[in-house]
Amino acid sequence: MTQESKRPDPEDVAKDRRQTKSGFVPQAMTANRLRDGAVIFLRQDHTWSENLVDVAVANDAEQAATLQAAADRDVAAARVVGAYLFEIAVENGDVLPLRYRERIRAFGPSIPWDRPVSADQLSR
Amino acid sequence: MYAYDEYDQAIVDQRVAQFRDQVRRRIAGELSEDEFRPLRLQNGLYLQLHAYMLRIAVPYGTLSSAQLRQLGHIARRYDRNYGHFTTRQNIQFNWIKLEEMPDLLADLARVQMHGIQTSGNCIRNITADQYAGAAADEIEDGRVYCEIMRQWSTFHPEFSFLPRKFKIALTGSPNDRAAVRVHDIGLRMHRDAAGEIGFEVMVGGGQGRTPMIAKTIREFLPKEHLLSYLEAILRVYNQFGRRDNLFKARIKILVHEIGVEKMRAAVEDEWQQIKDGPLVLPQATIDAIAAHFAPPDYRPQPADQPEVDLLRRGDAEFALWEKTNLFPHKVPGYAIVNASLKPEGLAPGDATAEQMEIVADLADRYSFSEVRVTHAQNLVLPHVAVKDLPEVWRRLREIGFATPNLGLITDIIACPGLDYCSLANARSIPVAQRLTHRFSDLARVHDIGELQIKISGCINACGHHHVGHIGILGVEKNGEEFYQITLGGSADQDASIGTILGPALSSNAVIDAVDNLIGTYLDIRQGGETFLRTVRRVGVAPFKERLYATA
Repeated sequence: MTQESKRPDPEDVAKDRRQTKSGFVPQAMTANRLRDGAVIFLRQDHTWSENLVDVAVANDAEQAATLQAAADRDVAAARVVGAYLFEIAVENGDVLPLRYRERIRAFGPSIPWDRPVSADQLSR
Repeated sequence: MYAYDEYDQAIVDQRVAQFRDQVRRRIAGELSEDEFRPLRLQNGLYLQLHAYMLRIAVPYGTLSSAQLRQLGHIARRYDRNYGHFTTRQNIQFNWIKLEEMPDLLADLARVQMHGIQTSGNCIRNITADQYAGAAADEIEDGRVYCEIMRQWSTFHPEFSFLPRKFKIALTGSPNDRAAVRVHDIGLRMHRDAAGEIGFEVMVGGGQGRTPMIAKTIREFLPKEHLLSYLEAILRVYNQFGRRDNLFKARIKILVHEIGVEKMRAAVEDEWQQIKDGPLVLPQATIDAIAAHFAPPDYRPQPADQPEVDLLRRGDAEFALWEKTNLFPHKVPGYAIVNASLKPEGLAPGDATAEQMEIVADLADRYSFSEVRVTHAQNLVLPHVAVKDLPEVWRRLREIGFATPNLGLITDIIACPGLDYCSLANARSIPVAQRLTHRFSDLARVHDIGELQIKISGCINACGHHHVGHIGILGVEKNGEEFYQITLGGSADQDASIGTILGPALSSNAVIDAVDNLIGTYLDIRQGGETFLRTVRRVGVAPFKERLYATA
């Protein structure tokens, strides 16, 4: 698994928030999967994906509340933990978190972090 | 080193069984996260930016080869093949799965390890001089007292819910390598006028958002009273420490607010009531623990080492390594070897499973199966015969742990920063990486000389930036990473908090800024003056003027 192509560029930091006409900054929902801690994103059908590209975009407060309610249900059901909405920009259909922190969370550390994996681990 | 007795083992085994059931109940939905969080934290399991992170205690920085090998196994079996040695002499794994934690803890318990006292408002894992029991300059092996404190503090019912976390560090040498003056309690072993060995007790040091140098509240504490005196300090703190404000809850704030005289009086009052009670340490108890730390079976070594002399003359890299990465051993013919976990371009303190296993093998063959972890995020082979140095150097070089940079500009301390940590505001590791690239010329690195750069990704200061000769603190401004530079901090026996130079610099500018500071130093240093001495002689003004003149 390589994430090189998606690794955030340190210089590429969103400086301005891209609001919709109503003044709402688009948001998406993230959490960690309870069993293994993986970073996950809420899809439109309220299932969870490990890939940011699958995430449902909330373009107004009502849509955000729907995502929040879906996430709250999965928190209560002990499927996910630490769910929260974060601000994004959507460009040409691509979702990009506004805050640098959320980019690192979505794409992985900005430094090499997938070390050579031993045969022992691959066989699991 | 210390080996568990049946009580220690029973405590850790019970903890594994308890946690196995707690994880089962959490995954089954019987426990909410609010109920489960304190339980997992009591076993060192945090939820970090990307995943669960497990912090494993390495009491007073001492590891057996078997333990280090098992950490390699943990890295390979349960994580992504690497771990991160921290400024608390612990190790962290970044990608742990909750459902695998019970088996992981059971594997750790097999080698007498766990994550207890690595989180929460308790007395945390106690740290010490990494060269304890080996250093030529030491008065006594402080690990004996660290182990006594470990047994006293683990699950201490009165001190399990303190106002805030509590860190104790100990040095048995006059040259402080354990940063004792920036701990809640610092202990320094020394001799009184009668030649007895005891402790200077310092209290109220710390870093974080309010850095403080600890104040001495007792010049000399006889060994037998160590636990009763610590208990008196903890009781005063437990009663008067501020629980109303998270940011004012550490003991340093209490000492600062009431003053050292009142603190001393309160501790002495409390101590008088308990000092001759059950906490008095009988000599027999001290001796029994000390027996675990008996010196290994050193062999007489020949005075002449022609093979080592030959290599030293013939290989400049070995000579450089020998000059910087060794420390004098108390036994003639032996040396303390530092394995530098600061190779160019990699994360300070990271080690892969294979690297851990090879260091463990080296310890078995050449260092009486002992390894140490340093708060500067390096590893140590504490007892290597001089005749074995060439082979140890070759093997360390093969795994990238022989960079001759110990205590030099590229021996950088860095917290995990925003790449891993959910508290961070900016990244630390990439700054360290870029600095190691900028200062990759070893001749230049050695010309610059002794210099400690310490980088934190937020004000909590896990990267010790306040006490770096050059400190770098990451901050976030409008979604961008900026870095604030401090000068003149120090964590040794002349501890000091660094002075902020000026406005924070952009990520792009920070490497040039360090280069600029080095340029100023090289221009104005006198004789063999180190960077820190120069800063202390001239103050920060000349550095500041030149840095911000170009900005």
